[in-house]
Amino acid sequence: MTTTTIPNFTYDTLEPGQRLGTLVHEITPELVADYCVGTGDTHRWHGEGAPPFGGPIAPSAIVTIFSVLVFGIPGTHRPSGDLHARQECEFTAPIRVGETITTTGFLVEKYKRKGRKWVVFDAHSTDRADRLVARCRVTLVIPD
Amino acid sequence: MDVPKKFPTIVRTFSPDMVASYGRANGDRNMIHYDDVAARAAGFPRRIAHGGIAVAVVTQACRDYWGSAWFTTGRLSIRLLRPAFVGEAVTVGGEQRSAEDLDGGARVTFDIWCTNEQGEKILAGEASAILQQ
Repeated sequence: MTTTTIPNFTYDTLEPGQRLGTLVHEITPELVADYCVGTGDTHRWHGEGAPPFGGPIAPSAIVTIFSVLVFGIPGTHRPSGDLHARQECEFTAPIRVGETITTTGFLVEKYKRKGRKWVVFDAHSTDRADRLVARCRVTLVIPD
Repeated sequence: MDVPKKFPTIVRTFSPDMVASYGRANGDRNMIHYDDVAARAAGFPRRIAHGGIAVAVVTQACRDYWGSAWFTTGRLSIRLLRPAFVGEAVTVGGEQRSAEDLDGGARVTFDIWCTNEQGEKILAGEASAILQQ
């Protein structure tokens, strides 16, 4: 189950530091399975269990999904057709299957270049214990 | 600290089933990923895979190199340069750039990339994590 809270904003009204969306994702076995099939990942740590961490964990890059969505769900909160230009992540803790991850975004900057609109934003993901599991920075080129 | 210099190579073909599963996971229903006509209308020659799939495959190679340390100390910075097409095979590779000794280990940094069937980079950047002694 996913809970999504996206405030109303447009490119023109965005300001650096502004809070973007907050998403709460249940890291279900089904979500991890879809993600693994979708990325061709058959590593046992994501199904049978990850001995260094106990039970199964999600692939690290699953947070990249959450990080992009804090800017809004394409076709719902914003137009489809954005271009994912850059992705940065720092992983600080594994995400266990069954965990609940909350991801919150903040705008870093916006600018226009070559007639296109660019936005850069941070997305921090925490677990149920409010422990940081990943911080990401995303750059999107957004359509008019 | 001596660290392994070889970065894992992964070759993966982005099948329609993969793209459909990834779309279920990320909620992206943009038809450019599922329909050639929609992709052409958007300026692409055919369906394109989600950019996040290539990012994920790169991080799989990172996990295979750094192991559990990737999940607690991993850093990734990449630029997405061009789309990968559905049905296309891509190859992930990397070359060690540096190994900075730390107390009890080293932060090892690789230049990383993912190329398409034409040998063009579809993404490039760097990844690092700490290997313990």
